[in-house]
Amino acid sequence: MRLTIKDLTQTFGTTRVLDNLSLETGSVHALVLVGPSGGGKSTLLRILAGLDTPTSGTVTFDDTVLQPDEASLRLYRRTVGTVFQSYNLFPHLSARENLILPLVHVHGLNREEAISRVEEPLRRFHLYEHASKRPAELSGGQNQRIAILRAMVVKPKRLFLDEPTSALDPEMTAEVLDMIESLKESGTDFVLVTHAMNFARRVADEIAFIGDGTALAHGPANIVFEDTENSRVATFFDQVLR
Amino acid sequence: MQARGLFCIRYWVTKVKTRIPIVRKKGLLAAFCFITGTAKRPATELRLYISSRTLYAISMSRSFAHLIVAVAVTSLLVLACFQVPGDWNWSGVWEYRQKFIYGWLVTLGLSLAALVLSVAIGLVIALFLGARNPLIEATGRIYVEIIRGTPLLVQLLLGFYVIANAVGLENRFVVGTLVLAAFSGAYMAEIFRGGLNAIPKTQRDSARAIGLTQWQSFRLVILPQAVRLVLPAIAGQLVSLIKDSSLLSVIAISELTLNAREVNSFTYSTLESYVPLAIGYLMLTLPLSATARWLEASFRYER
Repeated sequence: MRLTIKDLTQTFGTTRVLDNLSLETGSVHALVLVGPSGGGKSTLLRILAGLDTPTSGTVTFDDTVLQPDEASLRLYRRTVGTVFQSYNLFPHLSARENLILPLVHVHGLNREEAISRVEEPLRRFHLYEHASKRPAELSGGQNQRIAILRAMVVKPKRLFLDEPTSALDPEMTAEVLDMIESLKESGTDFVLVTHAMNFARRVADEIAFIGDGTALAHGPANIVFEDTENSRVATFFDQVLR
Repeated sequence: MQARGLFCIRYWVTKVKTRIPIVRKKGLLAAFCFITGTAKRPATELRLYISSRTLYAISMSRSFAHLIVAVAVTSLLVLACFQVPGDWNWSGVWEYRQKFIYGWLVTLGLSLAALVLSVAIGLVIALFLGARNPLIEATGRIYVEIIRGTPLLVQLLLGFYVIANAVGLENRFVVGTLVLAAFSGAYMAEIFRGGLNAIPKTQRDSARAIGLTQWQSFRLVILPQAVRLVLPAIAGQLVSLIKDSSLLSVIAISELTLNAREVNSFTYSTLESYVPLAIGYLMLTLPLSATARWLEASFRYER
C-alpha cells in the first residue's frame, strides 16, 4: 500500500489532537506508528480505518481518497479490518460466531460457507478447540487473536491494529505478535500502532513517529530509531528503549 | 476440559465472603437448578469441579429448603384462617367456579396481549429517549413522565370514558389492553434505556468497524446484550403488569378480580372468593418469574 496524508487536522472541542499532519509513504506492507501517549496515534488510526472523520485534510490509499460521508465510509470499512486494544469481541457470542458474523451479515455468505471459511484460520492459529467458547472463557491473548482473525476472515485489503498488545501480559503479547508477524509473511498489509519497540523495528517497513499531533519523524525503521537530531524523538526512544 | 460426569461449579465471591454456588448446566438439570434456585449470578474467579452426586445433594438441600419455607408459610396462613370468626363456606364459591375460570382466562389473555405490546412500546420509547433529535427525545421524556406520574386508575377512566369515546373505540377489552400496555411501557422504556446505555461504546465501534449498518449493530450487537442485562427488571415489571390488570375491573371488564367480587356479592362469602383470586394471580406470576430466570441463565455469558 501507498499512503498519502495531507494536512490532516482533528479537533475535539477546543483540543487539537491532530495538527496539520502530513505523511507520504513509499510502497510498504507494514507501517508502524509510534510515539508518546496522547500524541495522536490512535486518533490518526481511527481516521485511517474509517471510524472517524477528520475536521480537515485528506487521506489517500493507493490513489483512492477516503470520502468523509458515513455511507461511503461504511463501504470502505467493509474492505478493511480493524483490531482494537481491548479486543471488543461480542461477549454474547462464541468465538466462532464472532468470526462468522461479518461474513454472514456484511459479506453475504450463508452460514455453512462462513463456518467452513473460518475453520482453516482457526486451526492455523490453534484456536479451533476454543471456537465454541465465549470471550469471557478465553484468555486475553486468545481473545485478541480471535479479534485479529475476525478482521482477517473477510479478506480485507489492509488491517489497522490499535495497540493490540497493550492490554496483555508479556507471554500473551508474544503470541499475538507472532500472529501479526505471520500475517505479514502471508502478504497482508497493515498499519500498526504499538509500544512494543523491538517488534516495531523488526516488522516495520516504515515507521512514523507521531507526537504533538503531527509526524515528527518518518522513514525506514533503522533511520527513525537512530534519529538523534530531533530532540523530541530522541528523548522518547531514550526513555522507552532504556 | 471437564471430565465426564463432573459439573463445573463456580463461586460468586462477594465482599462479605458469601459463597453462592453457580451451576453451568445443560438440559433437564438446568431446569431443575432453576426451579430450585441453584443458579445465581455470574461467577468471577474461583472455579471448582465437583461430582454430580455432590451437585445433586446441593440441589436437593435447596429444594428441600424451599419446601420447608413453603409448608411453614401455608400452615401459618391456614392457622390464621381458623382464627377468623365464623364458618368457612366454600360451597357458594364452588358453585360459581365457572366464573373464576372464565375470569382467569380473560386476565390471562389481557395480560399476554398487554405484555407483548408493552415490551414493544417500551423499546420504541427507549429509542426515543436516546434519540439525538431533541424533539423526539422530549416526546419520549414527556410520555414517560406523564404516564409514571399519574395513577393507572385515572389513566383507565380517562382513557376509556374520554379518549376512547372521542376516537369512537368502544371495545373495552381493546381499550383496557392498550391503556395497560401504555402504562407498563413507560416503565419498560426506562428499564430498556438503562440497559442500552450500559453497553460500552467500544461495542458499537467494533460493530461499525466490521461494516455493520446502524440497524444491524443495534439488532445483532447492542440489543442481545441489553436484553440480558434488563431481563430481571423486565420480569419484575411484567409481574406488576399482571397484577395491575386487576384494576381493569373499574371499566367493567369481567376479568378475574371483577368476577371474584361478583361471586362475593352473590354468595356473601368474601374471604372464600378472594383466596382463589390470590391463587389465580400466583398461577400467572410464578411461571412468569420461572421463565425469566430460565431465560436469564440461557442468555448468560460471564464477564
